[in-house]
Amino acid sequence: MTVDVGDPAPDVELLDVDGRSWSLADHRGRPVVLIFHRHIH
Amino acid sequence: MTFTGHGNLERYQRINDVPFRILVDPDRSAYRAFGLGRGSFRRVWGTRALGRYLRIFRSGGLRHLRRPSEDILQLGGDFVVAPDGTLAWGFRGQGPDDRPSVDDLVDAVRALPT
Repeated sequence: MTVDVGDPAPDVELLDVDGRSWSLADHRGRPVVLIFHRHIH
Repeated sequence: MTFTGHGNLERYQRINDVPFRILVDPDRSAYRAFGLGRGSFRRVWGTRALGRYLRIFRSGGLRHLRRPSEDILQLGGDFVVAPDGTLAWGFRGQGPDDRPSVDDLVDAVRALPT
């Protein structure tokens, strides 16, 4: 299933590179830009 | 966001001084949630990709390249989430050189309701 424009964004919860938790839901009320890298050499 | 390992991330951060948070998604659950799958071997290693590596080689950038240690077929993408939590804009790459322009991304942010 693919999320489309206008759909609720998936509520992803991840850690950042420093080990701090990050949740998309915590940023409600602000725009968020997510850039998914393919891979890093 | 990346699914790369910690060693690669440390190297990446040494080379690139990024002003944003880097999120780690080792099992690629967020990639799947946003509909980002894997590309075909032919598309990933097609003539466009080889041309890109040739340009990197000519510019002396090969010193930053390492042998791939990850899934090179994983595709990337770019998304803008509106303040109400809905997906406002999205771009799913079909290959390694298939990326939106910076202008398109900035325009998508500027188009958000204020």
